[in-house]
Amino acid sequence: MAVSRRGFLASAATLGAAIPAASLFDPIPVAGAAPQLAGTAPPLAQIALNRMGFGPRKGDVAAFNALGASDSARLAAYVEQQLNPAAIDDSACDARLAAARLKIQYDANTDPDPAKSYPARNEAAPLGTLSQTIAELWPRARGVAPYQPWSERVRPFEEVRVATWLRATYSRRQLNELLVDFWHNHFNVNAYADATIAATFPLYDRIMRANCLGNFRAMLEEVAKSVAMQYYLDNVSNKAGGGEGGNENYARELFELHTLGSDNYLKFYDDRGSVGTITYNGQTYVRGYIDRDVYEAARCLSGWTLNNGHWEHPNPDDGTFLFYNDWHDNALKIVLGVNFPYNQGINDGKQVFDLLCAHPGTARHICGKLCRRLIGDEPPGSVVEAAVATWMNNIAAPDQIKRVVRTILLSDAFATTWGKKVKRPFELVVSYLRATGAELPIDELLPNPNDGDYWGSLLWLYGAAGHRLFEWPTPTGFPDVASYWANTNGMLWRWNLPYLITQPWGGNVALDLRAQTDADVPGGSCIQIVDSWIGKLCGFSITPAVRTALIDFLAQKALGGDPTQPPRPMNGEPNNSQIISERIAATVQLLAMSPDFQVR
Amino acid sequence: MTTRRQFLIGCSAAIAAMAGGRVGNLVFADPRAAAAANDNMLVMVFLRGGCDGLSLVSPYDNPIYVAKRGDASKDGIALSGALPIAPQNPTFDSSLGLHPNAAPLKDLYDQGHLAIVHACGLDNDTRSHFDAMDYIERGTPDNKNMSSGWLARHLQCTHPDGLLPSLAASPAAPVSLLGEPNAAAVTDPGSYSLSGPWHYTANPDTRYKDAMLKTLGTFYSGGDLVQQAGARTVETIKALAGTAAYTPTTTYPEGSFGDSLQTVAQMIKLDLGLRIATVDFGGWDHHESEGVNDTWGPFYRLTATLAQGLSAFYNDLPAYQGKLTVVVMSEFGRRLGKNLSNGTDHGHGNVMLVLGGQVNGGKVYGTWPGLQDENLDQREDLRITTDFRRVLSEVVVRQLGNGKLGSVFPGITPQIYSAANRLGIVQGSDLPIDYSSALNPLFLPIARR
Repeated sequence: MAVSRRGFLASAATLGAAIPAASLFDPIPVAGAAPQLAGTAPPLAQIALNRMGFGPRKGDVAAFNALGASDSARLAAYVEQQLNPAAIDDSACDARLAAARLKIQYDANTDPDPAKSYPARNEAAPLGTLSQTIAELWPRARGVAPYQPWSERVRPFEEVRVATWLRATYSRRQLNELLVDFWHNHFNVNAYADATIAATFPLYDRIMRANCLGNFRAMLEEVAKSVAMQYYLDNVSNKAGGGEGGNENYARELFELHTLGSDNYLKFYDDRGSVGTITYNGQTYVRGYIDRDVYEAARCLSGWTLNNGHWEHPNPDDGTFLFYNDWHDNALKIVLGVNFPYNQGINDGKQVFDLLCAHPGTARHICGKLCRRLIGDEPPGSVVEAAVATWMNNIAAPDQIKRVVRTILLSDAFATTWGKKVKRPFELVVSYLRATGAELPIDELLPNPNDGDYWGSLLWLYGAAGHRLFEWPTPTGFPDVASYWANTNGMLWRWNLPYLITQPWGGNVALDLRAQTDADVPGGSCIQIVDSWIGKLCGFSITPAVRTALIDFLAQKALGGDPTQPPRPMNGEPNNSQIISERIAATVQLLAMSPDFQVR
Repeated sequence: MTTRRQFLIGCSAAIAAMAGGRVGNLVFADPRAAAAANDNMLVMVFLRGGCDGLSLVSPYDNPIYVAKRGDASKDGIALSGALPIAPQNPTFDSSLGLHPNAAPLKDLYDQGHLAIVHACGLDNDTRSHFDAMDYIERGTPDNKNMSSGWLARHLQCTHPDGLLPSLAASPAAPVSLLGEPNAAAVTDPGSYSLSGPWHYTANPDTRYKDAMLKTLGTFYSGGDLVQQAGARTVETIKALAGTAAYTPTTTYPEGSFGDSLQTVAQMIKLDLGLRIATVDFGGWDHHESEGVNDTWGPFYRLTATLAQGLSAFYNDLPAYQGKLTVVVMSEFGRRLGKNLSNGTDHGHGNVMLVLGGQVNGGKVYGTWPGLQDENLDQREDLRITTDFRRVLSEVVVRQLGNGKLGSVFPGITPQIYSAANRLGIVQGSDLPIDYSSALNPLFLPIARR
């Protein structure tokens, strides 16, 4: 008798199936609950390597375990090591960057005007712009004579993106890479919002790299002056006067996203007297910000622009920061309850940054985000407050962020939680590449000029997962919670990408799962092979039913296969290697598709 | 139509039980639901970034508007070349016209399929994109802590039994569908399938074919978000197996908006029981060089895409128009006065568009507040005279057959929507309105921050 769905569900409900009785009406902490895994927690090495970076490579777990006699000693040593990235030898990754090739291809353009003409190019070229200066990059940004095709103008951004993949996969400075990604998201710009941003993106990336463990106030001002942020949020044209307002785009996101956060947005009050105050460490601060603060801050930041050839300040035209007093509103202002005197010039903007960075609301907003990144979607309030205390006690320290990150990583919450963080697609794919030792592609110049564009294929396919690095359109940055990423589109691509990117047409990532299997467990049974791969990909006891299903799949037990024997053909095929190679590949892909591999 | 129930019978019992488990609980929690529900469809189009409604449906000859936006002939961005429409609404104190690139919308308006609501939106003081979108999509102004989206709660009330009742035609579901475990996010139905080694996926040999999918199906059986998404993905792969590439009957605009609309049209024609679909269309945040009247202008071009897309979508579905309502909205409008970068900053009141076979179109609904300083919100922005929930509620009640507004929009009052103050935008029957949330008292907003 066919079981109707309702009948079945009714009995399941009656039996008290292990389904949380959450409803759509519960407050967020219930319905948005992060995944929990059954079974025992993984070893601390797995927690550290998965959450302070992009997952272990071969040898990483052993290296971690050699760092001390106890878990806490090992973690403390590893944290210190990772917090000092410059002391970590990363020459192997540097060699990868030097060896990288990214194709660039375009047709010639011939125009009666020689300045608009350029020759064709088809080359698998090195990453040449990563360390270029603004003087070197600015001509691409301007898009004026001599003309360049679009792909040439945006090339610096494409190089940064490839370098980001390479570093996440190969760098030993894993925490540094994770934090660079964090700050890129915090100060998100869509690199394709404007060719100027794409052309100068290596500079923006370097701001994140230089400051990711540094001082927040210093980073904030560098970001404010950067070509990327100036163009992305329009402050480049924030000029006061004429009875019309300046451009408040940047000022608003400065408050809402970069510093205080919307939790401290009190919505519109024209009446400053009703804002109220809070105290922290005996100091008094305004309770939050109101629209009037945003408008006034936009006035403070008027005239913060770039030497970009604007007709009102045509020279120099070199992309450097410019405070242009003619566009600055030098009248009285009040921001966050503080009176700004006349004629402060550039110091108006700096004072706004000072006020925002000193406010405990900013500390709480950013420390909360850091904890969400490093621990789980809903980190305990105690660790957030501990991070806030470190932040507030080191407001001016040059290593303020490093100290905050250390507080978080050495907290109990970090070491004792697992599985409360869904890997985003980038983290998922990179962790797979690292665990399997797969090799990212090197583009080639082939007889067919359209072939050999492996990075293009990889990034295009990967983009369908909804996590196209540096292209999130709005200034929020990519979401960092499971409720966004756990969906049917993303899940399908998570499952397919490990296979697709290894195809010649899908990225040409080099990965021979059969050869690795034969080397790791020569002549091994299906059970041994599956356990070997669980060790490499997960390093902990995964859900037992998943392990059993993988073993049964590899053996094709339903067709009579024996899990205690090596896998063999079951369809009467000749005993050639292809059918078994494919089955091993499918088994490893299935392991990567399992819930156990989706979280960290 | 294949019902979800019939389909699930074909799945393994474990998947069926768990994938639908939460829905099942909710279904039985409220046996009265769905009494009036029907098979009508709602497509929510969200223009992300704050669409400039004053340039889309423009008071183009209002002297205050022209002065504050700047005459187009003098480097300003006031709309020129508007396509005048008859608002059938005495509150307007100046002419009203559509952007010239919205000619396809004027056709739909003149044919009576398209209604416009002006001076409408989220009546909350926020000028933040993200707060405003959150409030609208959670359906709870001033409460971001609501754990679910308003469309998810509507589906909870009506629990349609189709195979794919809700669809986000995007890489991820929007907040309005948050908490709906059956919402499918699909960008291309024709390629929604598992990729893996050929022998164990596409091999026609019945013993190996889909072997990976069968194994995968046993992995995802729990109740957390990842488990639910995985189970739903397996179901969706099975449901869409063999779906061919889509051939539309009309010409959609290029780009993601046209692609998303085509995905929805295809899913409607696949007859999988679709009730609710969402489409996102981003790029409307024009602080700088808005380009209302210029062929290079971002607003100019987006408006063409919007109008062509809506027209192509609607006319691609002649057999379904009688069951179809499309609502277009944005998180807020833009400031009445332009800024010095020839753009517009975040504003307040805006337009909503309602398109469908049961729409009382050819009319502009709502009350025009006027553009004099004293009639503006914060003396700067178009005032809101119609709460967005009044528009959506009318569609929910009269088109989708769900009177449980207290569940869909917790906190809603008869002042916001009732049979007496509804605008009359869509046909259909009034239902008894339940302003309480009968499903679960926990809806009450947790303390405001």
